[in-house]
Amino acid sequence: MSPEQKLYERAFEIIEAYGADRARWPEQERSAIEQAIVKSPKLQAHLQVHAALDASLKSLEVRPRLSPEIVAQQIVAHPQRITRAQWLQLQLEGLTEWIAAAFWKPVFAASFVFLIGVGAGTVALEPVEDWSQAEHLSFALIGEEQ
Amino acid sequence: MKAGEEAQLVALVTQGDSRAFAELVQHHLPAIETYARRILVDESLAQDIAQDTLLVLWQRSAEFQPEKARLTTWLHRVAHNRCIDFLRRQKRETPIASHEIVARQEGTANTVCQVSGEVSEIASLPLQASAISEASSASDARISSLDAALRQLPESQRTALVLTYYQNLSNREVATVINASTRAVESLLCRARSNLKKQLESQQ
Repeated sequence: MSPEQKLYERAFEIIEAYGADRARWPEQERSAIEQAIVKSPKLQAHLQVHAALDASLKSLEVRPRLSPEIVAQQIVAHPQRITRAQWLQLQLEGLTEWIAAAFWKPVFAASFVFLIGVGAGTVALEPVEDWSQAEHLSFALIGEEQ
Repeated sequence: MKAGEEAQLVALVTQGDSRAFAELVQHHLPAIETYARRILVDESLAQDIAQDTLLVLWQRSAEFQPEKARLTTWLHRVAHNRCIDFLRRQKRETPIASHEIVARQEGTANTVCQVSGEVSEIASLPLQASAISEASSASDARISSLDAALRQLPESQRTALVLTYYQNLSNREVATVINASTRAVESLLCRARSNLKKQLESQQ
């Protein structure tokens, strides 16, 4: 491919991407592209087509509504956004709470119930000294089942 | 505002100077607000993002490195990240949006961006050179259809287009904001314009 053809294709590409406004074209390529356009009627036609789309795009106006003075005052007076350290602290607190909710509370509750059961069993109930009655009872139960 | 002057103001903001901050807000808030409004449909959300971006300047100005980028580029990047976060959250909530359908058609749009150099292809484009004068006196309906066409572009293409055409950032600055190469920015712009033309053509 000849350098002229290469430049022509690059010019075509640039117009396709950036439109017809020369100010938007990459600065280092601008003058070369302009020269290529002068030499090529095809590129001139391409440029005009894209100028139409640029004009359409320009018609879309968006006007800012926020007042910079008020926004600046509000931010300085009430910076509600948290800092990174605060954010990290909140995350750690959340994690701790989650761990507490997920593990320690149920474990503690189960342990508590178990200990009460063991305590009540050892304190309130006296062990059976004569096991023969218990054996009779268990044999009787097995016999009934069979 | 010159880069050196801006860097000085940022340094003052880092020390807690509210007057320097007010000056920077005065200069940058309108651009950031209009950027967010062009990317997001919800106006109040766009305003929230604009305010949040300036809040970042107030609280994290020490992170700004003037030797690496202009302040406007840095702020646009902050605003861009917030807009993208919101759009991705929204995308998760709404399974199929219209812009996704356009995104799926991107493959076909790519072929249009190939350099052909053929005048016949140029002639087939919907907007002819003779339409310049018409476009400049466009009706409300035409403007709203263009707005709709712009909103239907895939997010990455819309962002590249808005940053280039409306925010007047250079291709390198756009690349910094969207974290891509300049070549990728060019490709996005090319596809955006091609899709926009198609959208406009289908609406006509």
